[in-house]
Amino acid sequence: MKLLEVKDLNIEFYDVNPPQKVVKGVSFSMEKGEVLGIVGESGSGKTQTALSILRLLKSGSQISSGQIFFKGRDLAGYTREELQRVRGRKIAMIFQEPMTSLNPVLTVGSQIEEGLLLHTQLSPEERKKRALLAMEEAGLGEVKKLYGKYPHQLSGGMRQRVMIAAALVTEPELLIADEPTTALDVTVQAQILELLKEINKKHGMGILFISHDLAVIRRLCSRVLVMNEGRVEEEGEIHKVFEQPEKEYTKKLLAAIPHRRESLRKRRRG
Amino acid sequence: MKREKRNYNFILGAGLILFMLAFLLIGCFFTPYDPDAMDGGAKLAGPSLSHLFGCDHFGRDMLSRVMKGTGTTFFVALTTVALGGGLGIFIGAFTGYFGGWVDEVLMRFNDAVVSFPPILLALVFISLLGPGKYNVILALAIVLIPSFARITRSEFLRQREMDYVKSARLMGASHLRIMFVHIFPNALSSVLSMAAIGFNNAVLMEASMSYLGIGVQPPDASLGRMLSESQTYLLSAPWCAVFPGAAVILLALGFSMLGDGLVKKGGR
Amino acid sequence: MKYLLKKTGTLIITLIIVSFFSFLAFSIIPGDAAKSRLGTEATKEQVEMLQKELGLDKPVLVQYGNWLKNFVTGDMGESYSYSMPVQELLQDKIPVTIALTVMAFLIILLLSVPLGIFTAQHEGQWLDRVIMVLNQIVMSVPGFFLGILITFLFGLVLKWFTPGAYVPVSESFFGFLGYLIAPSAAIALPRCAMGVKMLRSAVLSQLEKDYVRTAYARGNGQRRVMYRHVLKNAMLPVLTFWGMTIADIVANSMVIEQVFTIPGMGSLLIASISNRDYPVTLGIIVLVASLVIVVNFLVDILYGRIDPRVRVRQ
Repeated sequence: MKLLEVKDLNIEFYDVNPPQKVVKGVSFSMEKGEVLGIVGESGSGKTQTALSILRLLKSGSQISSGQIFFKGRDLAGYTREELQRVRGRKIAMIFQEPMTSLNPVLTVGSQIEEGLLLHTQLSPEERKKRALLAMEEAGLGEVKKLYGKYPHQLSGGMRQRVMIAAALVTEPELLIADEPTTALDVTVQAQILELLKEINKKHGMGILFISHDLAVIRRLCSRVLVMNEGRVEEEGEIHKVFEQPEKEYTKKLLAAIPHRRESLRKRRRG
Repeated sequence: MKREKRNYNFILGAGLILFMLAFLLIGCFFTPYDPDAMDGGAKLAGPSLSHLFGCDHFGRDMLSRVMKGTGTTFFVALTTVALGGGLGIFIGAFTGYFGGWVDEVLMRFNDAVVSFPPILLALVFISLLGPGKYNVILALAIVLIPSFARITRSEFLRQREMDYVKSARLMGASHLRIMFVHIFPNALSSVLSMAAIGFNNAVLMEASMSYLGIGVQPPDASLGRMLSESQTYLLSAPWCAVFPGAAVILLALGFSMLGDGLVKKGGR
Repeated sequence: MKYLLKKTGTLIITLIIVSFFSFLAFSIIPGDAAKSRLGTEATKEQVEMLQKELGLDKPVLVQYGNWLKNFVTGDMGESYSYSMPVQELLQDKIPVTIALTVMAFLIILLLSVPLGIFTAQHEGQWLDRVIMVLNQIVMSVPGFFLGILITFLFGLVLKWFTPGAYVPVSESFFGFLGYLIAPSAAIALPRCAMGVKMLRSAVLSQLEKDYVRTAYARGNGQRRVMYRHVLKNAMLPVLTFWGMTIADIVANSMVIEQVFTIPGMGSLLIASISNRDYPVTLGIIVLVASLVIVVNFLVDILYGRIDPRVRVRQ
């Protein structure tokens, strides 16, 4: 049984006139413990695809047709309560903006623990113990001190680690990461990628990794899905896609990488 | 692409104001009766074809009195906003544009004043100046200065760093010219919505103070005073309260909707 | 702790500045208190004697110091028109105004919080639209006119209470509170409408935030997202509004007391303004102003407790 299977997914923005299709017939699947990357430019529909899995689309957009199977069951058939039990418990998600994705008035600790509070019967002491463990695993130092701090006291990289700890704490089977490194600077970006790799190995947690950056995808994923204008342009093993791309679009994307590298290096030097 | 929502607040607010304006402008030149003429036979007469809004306890025609009273209220509000708004804009423009310790001190003072309820400040000034139409205008104008100064200042503070200001300076434009020819038009939309809010406040406060007997004094017709007098005959002649009250509400409502509408327009 | 100390310092300075300006406005500007008390026929010696007695021959700052010392110990001077100490005049009026303020504030809280949340949750639906239209209208009704309408409808037509038949607290506690329901509703409703509008837009703007999506992604239900995550953030701007509202209620209760013939501080203030009874005016203004300042202080403290960012930045 596949971990995740998306079949002929269509997503529509209906608060614009005329309604606009942003995802057009996307299909893909993931095995247990697999790290799948979705790459594409902004507006390619990759984020909408990721959000639709947990049905977190903003009001004004909706799945117009298609199915999303999680371990063989169609998420579309879930009631709101069932869906809530999957969110954060079986499938966790982290987002692009660690600056704004955490609640500014709640402590780091209480936000990491929340998944346990919602999905388990654990005692407060046990919850705290597991939260601290997850924080350590996410590479946060001085976890006891950090536990009572507020998000604004942390750097961007630390906040993204907090997000990851909050996702890890319930030991989900799938982690959806929507551009988790885009807002971070390059060194922190590398650390976060290493961290995700480790977690994948240690827990066998499947990761669906969304990025506009092919270089980042290459470092982490075993398979990649190239999206363009709401469609899947190309799909395949990471090496195959990188070394023998079939489509013009993929070639164009690949051609952009070294250039980006170059400019980054220049920027760091200057 | 996005479906435009119609700015109902703006349309309805402007409509209400125009309606009330027509009502009071007619009242300036023509009223069905002399607003001060007493008709002993028509004391507390209900609304009828000859007296659309009924008559008060002296037999004076309420429609004529409400027309005049609306005029007084509007006049007070207009002069208040012109005076207080003008001064506030001036202060805000200078402190925002030049900054420095004067700005610092004035804004601290402003913050303190803004935290006090406007009606309380107005009462303080009235108790020092004494009652009367022109003192009300003065008192309310003083009360309005800080909020205008604040909003103008923040606009000027934002605009003065913009490129068009820098280039104007390079072209050799004088400070005054930059402030009022270049920057002010850009600050206009927030100043205008502030003006609408100021009108709304002025209308409500003038009515309250006249109601208390420390605002507009007779012989000037005033909606607040009419409401205060109506209370004695409330059961037998509710129209004496309803029509002046409705006039106050329509004016205040018009300005508050206009203000909301302007905010929405400015935001786009 | 540092935050608290700093705020307390500001509180004391503000209190001193405001009371000084009020003192200046009401004791110095109106002219010689001795002359106005003795009348125009007093001899020069009599005026000078009274001036000395009242300390009017001393410099302004000394006069202010003496006045402040007396004021803090409860001595607010003597009323011109009633020939009795101001504090005695105020004694039984302050509780009335406080009761009115508390009741009005409770009405605002109890109505505007649920309505604000409800309308935000049902944004754009017909019930939300109806409430928001009503809201806009109620906001533009002056409190005293609302008082007149309430008097007419509930007092004269439905006879739920007798207009003008104020019940002193010494006579019957519940009768007293019962009579205050109508006036506190008259003060509360327009502000309640503003409160609904504020809270609704605060909640709506919070619902757009990224952390709300995170909360849903973690498995929170709609209720929990609202009450645990959104509301605490949305309360911040509303808190400031509430602080201003308390001050606003006190100020407007002065007007409403007139409508319902309640013998509170407001009626006394209006009378003292009309009679140019400056010691009474000064006493009431300084009391109310101090209340405003203290409430603002408390709001700042509360704000710091809810919003961790404020505490640390200071």
